[in-house]
Amino acid sequence: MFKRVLIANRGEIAVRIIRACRNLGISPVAVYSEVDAKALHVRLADEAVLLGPPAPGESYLDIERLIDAAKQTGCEAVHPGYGFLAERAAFARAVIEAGLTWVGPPPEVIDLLGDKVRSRIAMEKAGVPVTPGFSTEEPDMETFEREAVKIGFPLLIKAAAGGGGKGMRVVNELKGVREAVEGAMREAQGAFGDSRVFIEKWVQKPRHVEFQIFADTHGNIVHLFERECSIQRRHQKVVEETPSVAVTPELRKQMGDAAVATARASGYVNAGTVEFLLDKDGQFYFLEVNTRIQVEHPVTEEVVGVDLVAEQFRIAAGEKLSWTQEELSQRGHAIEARIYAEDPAGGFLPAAGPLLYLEEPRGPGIRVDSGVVQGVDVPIHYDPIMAKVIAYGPDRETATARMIKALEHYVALGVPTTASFLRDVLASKPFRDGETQTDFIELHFKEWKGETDQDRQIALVAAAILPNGVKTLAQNGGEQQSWRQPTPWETLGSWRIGGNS
Amino acid sequence: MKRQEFKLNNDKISVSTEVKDSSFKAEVDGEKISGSWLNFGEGSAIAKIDDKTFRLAAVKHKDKFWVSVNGRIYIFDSAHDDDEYNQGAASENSVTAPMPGKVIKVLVSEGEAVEESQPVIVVEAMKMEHTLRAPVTGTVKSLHCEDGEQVEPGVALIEFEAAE
Repeated sequence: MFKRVLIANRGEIAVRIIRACRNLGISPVAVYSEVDAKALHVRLADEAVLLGPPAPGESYLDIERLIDAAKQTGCEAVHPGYGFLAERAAFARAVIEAGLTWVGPPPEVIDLLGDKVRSRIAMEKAGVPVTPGFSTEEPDMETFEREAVKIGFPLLIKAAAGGGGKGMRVVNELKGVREAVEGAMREAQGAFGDSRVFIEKWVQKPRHVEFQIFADTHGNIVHLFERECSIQRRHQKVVEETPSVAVTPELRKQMGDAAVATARASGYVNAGTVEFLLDKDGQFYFLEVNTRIQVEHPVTEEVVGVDLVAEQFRIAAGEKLSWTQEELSQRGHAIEARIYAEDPAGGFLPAAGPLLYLEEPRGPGIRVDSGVVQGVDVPIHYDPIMAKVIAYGPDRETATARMIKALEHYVALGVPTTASFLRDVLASKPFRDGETQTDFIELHFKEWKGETDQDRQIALVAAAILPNGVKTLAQNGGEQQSWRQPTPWETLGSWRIGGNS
Repeated sequence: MKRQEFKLNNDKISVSTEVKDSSFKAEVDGEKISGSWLNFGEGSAIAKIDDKTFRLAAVKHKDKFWVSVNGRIYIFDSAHDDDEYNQGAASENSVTAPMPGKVIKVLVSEGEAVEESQPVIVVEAMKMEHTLRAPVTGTVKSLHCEDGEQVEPGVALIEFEAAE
């Protein structure tokens, strides 16, 4: 096993990877930008290297700086987390060329699966069902409009290099095609440096069901069952669970086989996720493969009883998979709610600001994967995820009840979050009934305005009394600062325990 | 009792409070409430009114009060510094940048008639495009930005004149 690894990420996933490192006896090295000097992942690592200014291009996306940081600190491997460079084949190549181990699939596999157009063709060949659609290497508007009519409306415009809803548009009629294609191309160019887009039939009222896969370098491939992630805003997931209420044992077998076939067809190694759309008739379609650890991996960990990040390190170190397919089973039910710094009553616009007060829930069946602590600023520069609350129980009803209580005990002040919105989602009848399709929020929570008036009186009383009692807190440290004196851990630049010995 | 004023959607709300030992008395816009009060410091407390329990946390930051009641968040504005607060800030008839970002496309021109919630500008932030919509039915009074411009949060991008 590795002695020391670089974690090329920030926030909750960097913290999660650090915890896996600790369990395996690996020394974790963190990286950070100037705004993250006080961040939790920096505090928890054995060493931390300053990358540069806040802009991702000058910090977490700077391949050269990251490779330098890994070499300079004596790391043997690099874990990319999710987001940033996790699905950038060029980064995987640079890591390998620097003589380091890449904790993820080989760069050729990332290339193939990251290209929605090429991967669609490969999966069709492997017998995996794909949605009807159209793609071309040389897009021109007339062809797009002609093919759009053939496929029928509504349809989706998606980025060939896409992911996370970026560069994606729903089009309801022919006259919307041009504007949507142009917008999607701009967004794709900005986000991925690749403006190619393609058209796909829009499956009506689908559920988003994905399968966790794992493959080693010895030819073994398993799946670790499904996660349902239908509850989304802006085509990005906010609530995930496993098992899915819509997946029967027979369907699970079929989809699991298709997921393994997908892995085999692409020469997959390490952790990945095969995403499908599942329509109301139980027909499923291949959507894409995410060639990294997913945000929602903890629900699988809870129900299957595994540590997926630790397994990533074992596979990268050349070990065989820890489990055969027969050894894996699902027990109980797990749900994840993503706490984003966003305003759910204001179109889910990302927010930033000082985290002046933070209380995270605890208790039986509750796990919080958090990247923040009280007193830090939530920066505007990155994905606004703050934490994930995961609730486990013997059944869906228990897990749901635990989650509702947990979200009531997630208190963050200074930055708007999705916590109380998600509490209402979990408590709603359609969620309890398992009526979870990808239009869930649009259908049931479009007009959500947040706080009812019922507790406003006591809220005003609290506003009148409480901040005065802690006047020194907010005022001593100035506008954006936390109120306490910074510790040496926060004021130092790059540092390491044991000095240069 | 100590009297304070808060602002919520331009309405001023007067709140008088008194905490003594482990109980509180308050008057919110003329309505009296009281109960028990257990203060934990660091901005958190538990209040009980009749047999109902409220877990409370509150902080003040830049003229805004952030309050949590059993996990529900309330945000109130300080009623002071009115003039400063309103200067240059968004009026109800304008579209403002919600966060630092880049103007991708202004979809309207000055003098153009708009319908409420019609898309008027596309702004990019966090690598996602966000379409902002007209707050009122009326006409475009003035444009304060152009395509490609970097904008700061809270700055009015487009002002509108509401139809009579």
